[in-house]
Amino acid sequence: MLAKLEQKPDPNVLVGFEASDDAAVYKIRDDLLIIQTMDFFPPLVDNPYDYGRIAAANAISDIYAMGGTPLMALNILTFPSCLDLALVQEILRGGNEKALEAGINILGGHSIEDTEPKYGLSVVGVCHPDELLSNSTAQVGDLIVLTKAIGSGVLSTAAKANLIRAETESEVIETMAKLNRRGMELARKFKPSSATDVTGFGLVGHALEMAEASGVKLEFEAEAIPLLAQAEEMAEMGIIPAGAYQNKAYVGERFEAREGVKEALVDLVFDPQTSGGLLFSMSPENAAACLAEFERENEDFAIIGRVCEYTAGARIILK
Amino acid sequence: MHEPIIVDARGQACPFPVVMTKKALAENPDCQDFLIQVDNQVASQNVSKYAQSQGAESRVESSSEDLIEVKISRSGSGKTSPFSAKALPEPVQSKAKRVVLIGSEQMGSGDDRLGDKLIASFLFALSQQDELCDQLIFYNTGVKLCCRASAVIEDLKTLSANGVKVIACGTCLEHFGLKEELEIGEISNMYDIVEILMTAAVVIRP
Repeated sequence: MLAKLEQKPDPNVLVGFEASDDAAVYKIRDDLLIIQTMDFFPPLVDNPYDYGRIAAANAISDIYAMGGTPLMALNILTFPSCLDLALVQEILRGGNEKALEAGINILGGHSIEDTEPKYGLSVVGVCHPDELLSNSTAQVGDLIVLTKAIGSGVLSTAAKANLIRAETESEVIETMAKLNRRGMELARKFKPSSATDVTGFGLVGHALEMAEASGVKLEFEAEAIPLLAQAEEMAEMGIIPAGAYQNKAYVGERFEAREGVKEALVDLVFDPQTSGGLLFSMSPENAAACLAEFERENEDFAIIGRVCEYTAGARIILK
Repeated sequence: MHEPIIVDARGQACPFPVVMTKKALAENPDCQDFLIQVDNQVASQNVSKYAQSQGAESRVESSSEDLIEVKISRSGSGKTSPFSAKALPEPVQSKAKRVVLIGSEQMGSGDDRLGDKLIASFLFALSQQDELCDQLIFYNTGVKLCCRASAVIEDLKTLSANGVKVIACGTCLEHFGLKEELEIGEISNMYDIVEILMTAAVVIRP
């Protein structure tokens, strides 16, 4: 959306809008980068406290996806004047709890009246230049790993009509509210060559940004992609949110599903995720060692594909 | 050749066109043909996926920008077997009924706010079942759910409109001074309630 607006050249801007990366990165010293991001959205779960937790985890995630450490955040909030203030407080309480879990404070913010509640954070983080993880540096031969199961878009939609079990709904909420902090801390030790997080464009949308920025092709194993409980069942039943169709249409021929891959899985890789997991590329040896480390800590981690040389045709293959 | 059953799901956002289709197919086990009307591509694709997941055939026809029709046909489809519901004998009809008994305005005890949420989602889920209960009886603080300020009135109206008899305990309404506030349900006494419970096949207390 920013593509047509003029910008002045600035050598200290390391990652700007043209990069389709997760956050903006600015060099303030040779050994210090600041990372800034901002995200907010309308409620997607009924409970205001859960909504606050999810919105905050989602916003902070962009800092982790760049390899950074968050420093501080500001709230952004809109709500209708008729809304009970106790609900607004619950949203902010959820957001604050996540910020504290990330080791930062929310130092202020801004709220205005609107017809619908919307909440999120603007987050500032820092990073040493050597630790910056862009989505444009995936190396041919690397494996692709993912740190959260997908399907939260399909399941949030199904929850609107009470089509899923209560325990599935809690699992989806906890998955969305989970910070990517530990995932980044663990993965960082294994020198990922690139990283991004999986959010609104779905697994394939974010993988495509990585593939195009890195000049590579990514091949995913459909059966290796972790799915939230009941996600496949709901996708088969046709509970596919509009955003998944938009993501698929946007990606178009840059994606190819090989014959034999279940239709429900093809739909799920385009499912828009809220506060999804981190997607890394790393060498096969490091991926194996990293998997062991995640398993030891009982953290979700799955090897789902690999980075290949791009010659022509689709950038993302699902087989 | 039977006329298809028409489901108008225009103006409905995902997942509701699929939910309405699911309901129509479940409620009309003897019907072969259904015509689901929707007004966007997402809904038509999702309804087609649902039909496919049920082993039925579907065809999409778009006559104008705001009317897309998904024709669903169960006849001669892959999943129909000699043992499908249609081939089985009709279940024996009896007077035995399913009764849901609600004695509190909350579901469970311990946390009232959670209890409010649970009862609301219980009643919503109840209203979405393929096979509904026959009677729904409210007593003690449960009667408040049938009164004007209740957050679950719409679900109770849906249940009532679909043939579920809603009964509120008269003594209880009187006790809380809520007789004038009753929005839905028939006022009944303990004799009637006892009779209903004695002849019920199943009594469900959430």
